[in-house]
Amino acid sequence: MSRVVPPGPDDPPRLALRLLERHLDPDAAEVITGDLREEYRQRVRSIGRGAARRWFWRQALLSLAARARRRTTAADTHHPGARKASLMTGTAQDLRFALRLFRRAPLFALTAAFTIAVGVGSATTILTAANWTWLRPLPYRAPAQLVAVGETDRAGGLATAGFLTIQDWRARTRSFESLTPIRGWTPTLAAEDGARRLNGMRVGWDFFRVLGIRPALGRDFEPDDDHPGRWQVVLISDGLWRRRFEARPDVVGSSIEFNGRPYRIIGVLPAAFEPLISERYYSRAEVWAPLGYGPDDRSSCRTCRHLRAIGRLRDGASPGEAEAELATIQAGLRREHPEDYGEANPRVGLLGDQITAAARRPMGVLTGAVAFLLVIACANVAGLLVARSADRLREMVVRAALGAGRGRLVRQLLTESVLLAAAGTVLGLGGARLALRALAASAPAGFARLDQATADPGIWLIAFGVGVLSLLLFGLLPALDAVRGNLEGGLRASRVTGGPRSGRLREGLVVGQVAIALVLVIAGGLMFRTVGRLLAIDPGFDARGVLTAQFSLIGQRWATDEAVYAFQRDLESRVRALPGVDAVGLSGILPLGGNYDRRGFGVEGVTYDSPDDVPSGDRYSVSPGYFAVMGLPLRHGRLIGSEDTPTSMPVALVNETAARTLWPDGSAVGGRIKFGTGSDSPWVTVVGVVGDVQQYDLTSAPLPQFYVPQSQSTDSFLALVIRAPGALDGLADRVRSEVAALATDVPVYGVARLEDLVAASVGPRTFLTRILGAFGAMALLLATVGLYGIVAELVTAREREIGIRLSLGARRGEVARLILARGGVLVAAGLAIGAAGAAVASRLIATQLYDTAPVDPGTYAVAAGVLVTAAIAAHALPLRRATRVDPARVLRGD
Amino acid sequence: MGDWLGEFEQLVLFAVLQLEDGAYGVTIRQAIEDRTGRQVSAGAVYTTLERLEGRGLVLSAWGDPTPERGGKRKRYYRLRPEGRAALTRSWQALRAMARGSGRKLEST
Repeated sequence: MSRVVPPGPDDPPRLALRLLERHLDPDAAEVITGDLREEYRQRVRSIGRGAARRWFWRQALLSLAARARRRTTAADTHHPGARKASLMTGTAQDLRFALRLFRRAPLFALTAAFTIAVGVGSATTILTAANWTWLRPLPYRAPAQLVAVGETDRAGGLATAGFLTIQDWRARTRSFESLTPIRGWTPTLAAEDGARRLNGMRVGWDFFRVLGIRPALGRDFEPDDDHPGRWQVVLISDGLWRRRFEARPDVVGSSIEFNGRPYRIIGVLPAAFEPLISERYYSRAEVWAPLGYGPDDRSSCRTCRHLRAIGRLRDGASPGEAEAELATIQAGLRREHPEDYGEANPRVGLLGDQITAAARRPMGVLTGAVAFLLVIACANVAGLLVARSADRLREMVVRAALGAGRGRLVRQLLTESVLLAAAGTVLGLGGARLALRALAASAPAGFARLDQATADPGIWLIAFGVGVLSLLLFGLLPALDAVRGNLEGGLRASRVTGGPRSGRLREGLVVGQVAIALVLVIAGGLMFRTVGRLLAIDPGFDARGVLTAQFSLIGQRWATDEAVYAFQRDLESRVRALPGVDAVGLSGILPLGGNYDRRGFGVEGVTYDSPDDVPSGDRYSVSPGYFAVMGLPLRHGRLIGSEDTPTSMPVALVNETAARTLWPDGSAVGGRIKFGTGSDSPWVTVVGVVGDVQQYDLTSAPLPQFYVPQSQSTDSFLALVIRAPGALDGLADRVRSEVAALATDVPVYGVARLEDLVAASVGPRTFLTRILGAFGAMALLLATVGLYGIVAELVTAREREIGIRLSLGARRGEVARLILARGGVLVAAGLAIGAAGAAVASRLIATQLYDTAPVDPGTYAVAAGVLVTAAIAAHALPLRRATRVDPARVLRGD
Repeated sequence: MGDWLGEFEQLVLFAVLQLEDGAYGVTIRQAIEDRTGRQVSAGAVYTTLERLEGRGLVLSAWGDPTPERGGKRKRYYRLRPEGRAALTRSWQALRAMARGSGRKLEST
């Protein structure tokens, strides 16, 4: 990446300077740029930089214009650069003609430039976004060889695996050059201004070698670091290094305290390193430590499936081959450890595909949509230019008759096209920059690199090319045709019209525009309906007026259940005392909160033949207040209360799904379950049944859910839920200070309103809806403009006829009907084609829809209604003109 | 017609006359803007001076390059006797024609 030196306050706009230097003869350039620079400096001081820059641009452009106007004097012909100068004046003359033309028809020029801007801007935005989030290879060494490996989850997806499993794969495989385990890690960093939770990863020692990344400072992990007791060494990100350590090089070798224990910083990663793997599976990491598991650690077991594996395939090995080989290996493992493995075989997927998975489908849809929009824009420009070309014919013919060569005329037309395309492109690129910034700001999770998707010169060039090409194709060709065909005819005709051929072409274009606009409006409508349907789903809890905040209790101080439990109770009572707070509760995990605690469990009296059959469910370790805050309805039995203490009988609540599926005879209350498959875990008695909640998203069927009291089963990671309707503003800060008052090593993070968590769970669809909606609106606007153009033209062309009709006694209403009939046919044709097109195109977004058919009659009808309204708007002005034609004036022949 | 001056040429020549040794692009442009309130471009001033020089009415000479001009040289201008004569004639003509018009112009 090249470093751009920001222009100093004393430097005038560089582009303006370059324009002057390129287009002025050397003496004039020296004097004029010198004068302007000198005065610019004075003006920066007197009127400020922005105003001075505007002044400079104005001066530069006016100066260029003044030079172009200058009459060629006799002295110039003796000038050595005379030939060049005459060529220059030629171009200057072209420019002048073009500008004069635009001034004469500003509506045409503006509409054309704006249309190109819409096309170029939206195409650039989407292509750039698609390029970064989807197409661009991962920024690691030989990214096509990088894969993710894991066991297969119930849905057939590539999931996690246990430590010993990954060890065995690594030892037995021949398809991989390397295979390394990873997991998320969120250490707490104590600091004077409050504890912070850092996002990080624990990784096999060769993780960065697999990616081909070397630390910019210090050293990489070595095999020796990846051992129990020796793994307290960390690599930190460039960002953390600059933010926390002022980019001091001596940070390498120094100590940093995480969770109350010292870690040694051994290196700093390069600034260009993008932690995409952590972003995909965990949170964007800033600190990395070795995994440091030993074979006998509690977390190392084969069924402790919490690790993922990243691998590099050997040269020539494909993911399919690797998967086949792992299947054989897995068969061996299954024989050796029959109780630990189910029937499914491990999966191998390209890392690039895994990382871009969430963005691919929406970006694909948007790329298709933007292609449609581009077609409309081109059609619009084409329509405008075809209309113009009729008008231009006369001018061209006159100029040809006065002796202008064909080449000269072609050059003139070219200049106009390029000028329009340039104006439109510049406008469009400006819009694209803003749009990309807005996209990055509203990007849902999974659109990994969207925040970097800015300047992409290659795509800009393509965009500009498309702009120019569309103009040339649609503007130059018809004009050339006209110049060639119709030299004398053009002079004689008092009003040159485009003739029947160009008329039909334009009508065809308008029909196409209406059709495509309808497709885009329908697509936006279907998505809008989907999001509405999703948000109307009852998540099982009442999200209104609830703030959530997460915190973690990690380190020596929180090693005992008593310490954790005491902290929780203190925190709850302090927060309950805050103004406006109605109720407070705690839970280990939050529905739709992005975290989960999924456990395998057994039911008393039920045995399972295979590990595949052991059911699993979501476990919520909660305080008694949780149910009131979340508004969870009690169906049977009792809730968890203060009577459930560390020493009383272990109890649990189950959700309705669990009660229905595990105790079909309705005997859930009084039933007993145990978590985990080990025989040492205690039996827990079910004392109540509560409603289902949506844990992962709004649409999946709920799993069995269990609520156990925090008093009997404490968690290190906790979420506070606070019901405080009307008092949510500023509550987060008050909660933070309550936590800080209790302990300085407890970081608060993930503060969010529960309603926002619900909204974020449909984030990708909302994102798609917004963009498709914007496209639909732009398409509608362009189609309306196109339609307006052709109706206005129709009125102009038939003004005489209308006048005659009126003078022969036709009523104004009949005239209006005449105009409406033609426009109506075009709109109806467009709607019919568009509806058919939408029925096909909407299948592309079928997977994004929820409870909405791709051919949803309601949506189609509303979209058609919107288009008809727009069409009526497009007819309004021309109609007004048509019905006010003055027969006397028309018949006089103006 | 040769020696009659256009309106803008007159403005430029008046500025050169009054600025004496200090007449170059920036000062001339600012003098016109300050006194007439009329926005003029550096390019227009330069082009006019170039034309006046071609007609033998002004003389010009390069100054030294300075850093605040981005290393570019100034071009200084002075009136030649022919220029002074042309300006005098134009001014006298204007005064002669304007005589007695003051009240009429102001009353509209």
